[in-house]
Amino acid sequence: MALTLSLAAIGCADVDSAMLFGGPDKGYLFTNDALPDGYPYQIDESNVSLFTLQSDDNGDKADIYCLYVGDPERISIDTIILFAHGNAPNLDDFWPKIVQLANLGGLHRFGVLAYDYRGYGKSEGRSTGHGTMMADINTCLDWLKAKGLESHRFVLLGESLGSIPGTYVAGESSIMKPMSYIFEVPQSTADAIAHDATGLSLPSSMLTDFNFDLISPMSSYTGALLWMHGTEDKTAPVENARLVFDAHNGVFKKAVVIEGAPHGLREFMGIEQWGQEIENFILLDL
Amino acid sequence: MRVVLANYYIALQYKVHMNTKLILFACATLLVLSGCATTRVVAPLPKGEWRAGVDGGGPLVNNAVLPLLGLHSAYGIKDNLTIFSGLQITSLAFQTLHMDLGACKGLYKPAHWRPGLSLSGVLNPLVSLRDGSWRIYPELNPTAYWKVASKHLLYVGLPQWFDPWKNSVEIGKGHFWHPSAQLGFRFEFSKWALAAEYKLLNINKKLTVPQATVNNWTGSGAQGLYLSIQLRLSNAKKNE
Repeated sequence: MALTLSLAAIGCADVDSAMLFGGPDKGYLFTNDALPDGYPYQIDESNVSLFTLQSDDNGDKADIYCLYVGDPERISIDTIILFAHGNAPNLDDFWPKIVQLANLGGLHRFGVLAYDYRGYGKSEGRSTGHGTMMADINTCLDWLKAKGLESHRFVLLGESLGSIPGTYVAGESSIMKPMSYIFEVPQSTADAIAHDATGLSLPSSMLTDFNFDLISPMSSYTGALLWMHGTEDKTAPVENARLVFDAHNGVFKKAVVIEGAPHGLREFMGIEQWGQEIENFILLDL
Repeated sequence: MRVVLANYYIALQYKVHMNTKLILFACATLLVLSGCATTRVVAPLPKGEWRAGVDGGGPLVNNAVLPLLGLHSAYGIKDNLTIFSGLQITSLAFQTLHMDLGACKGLYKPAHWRPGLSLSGVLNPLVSLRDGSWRIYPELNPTAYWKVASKHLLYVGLPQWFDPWKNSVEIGKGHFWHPSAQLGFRFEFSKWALAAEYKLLNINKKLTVPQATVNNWTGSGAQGLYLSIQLRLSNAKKNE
């Protein structure tokens, strides 16, 4: 068994992207019926748009699936949340969260754009690291900008894996930087992951092509920052993320660190409190 | 019924996909844990004896043994000194050349219930084939062993890895000392040997693999199960 699996691993062309857990979609059912029983939020289903955009990573093109909840015609006047989701296989897993975002401050007060990275859900291609992830989020930014979004109405939510492209957009984007950045259970650096996993001083390049260091782009971000994390997070240790938070020198920052919370922060702290923190943060800067 | 089956298929496909991904990533991050193979040489080989072997097994992650695979060889220079080398095949899948080169010195021979004692000094070089970055981790491995039925070996060892690059680790998490412990049994036959080993790895620190659980009853480090099979390539008849 071990031999078989080892040979399978060796023969697998996907080892470089082993950190990126994209997978098949579960139907892309973005309706109120697809929400959990008794879920406290719903949306106007006529305000749900599912579409594809072509992402281009230096010639490596892929159609990625995007989900917009809200009226696309109002992107030029509304405040919009771009949600870069965590390392679960597809948008289906985040549908309840997207619906809650679309209910912050009232039904459809904010437009919400979410997307599946390459290889996640129905999105084509394969996520292999920094290049593809930046190409995908930049594709979404280009679309929002073409629809009339401006930086002072742009809110970015990067959750866990999504904090990687999110933080680079916040600090370094030439397309559009967000007015407000929500940094939820974020990662920190690829090397820190390697060190936490092995206990040794291994460079991340011994494990993966996916190299990132969020401290540098965060130090360049000048907008408002909300950091949300749990002290018992075993996936993205809180002490690593704190260094990224500390690197921020923008106009405003707030840390919401929940004692005892694991990586599933939203469920642990209660979705109402989670939503309230984000709503308060966004409205603070409007 | 068709919808139920379709949903079941999607769920199954998702589960298989996720498990494969988790295994791959956990392999990538844990394959370099201290001593990811059975002890190369427990007791020095007789002078002139060659052995070559295959290692399998690895740390327990998500209640499964990671499928690490390696090759090794050993040669008895003197009756109380054996040199050996190994190559981690699984590491190559992650574009890292990971070898070990070492020597085992016999300090005491076993007598009745008194164990024999050996000390192995090992260098564990790793080179990233992506960007050429490298590390060399020295290791000392004192091992006590008992002869069972005159030829098999029961042994306990305390491999110690050392990290000279500890100060290059971010966020102040570098450690110089990486202690492990192991308990094993080696069946010795005329033309081959079979070893099974249980290890407690990196026992003085917590290990975190994103979206995976490193299972260990001690609450820190990791534990692993390892097997190896060795062919006695020369001198087998003499040692029979």
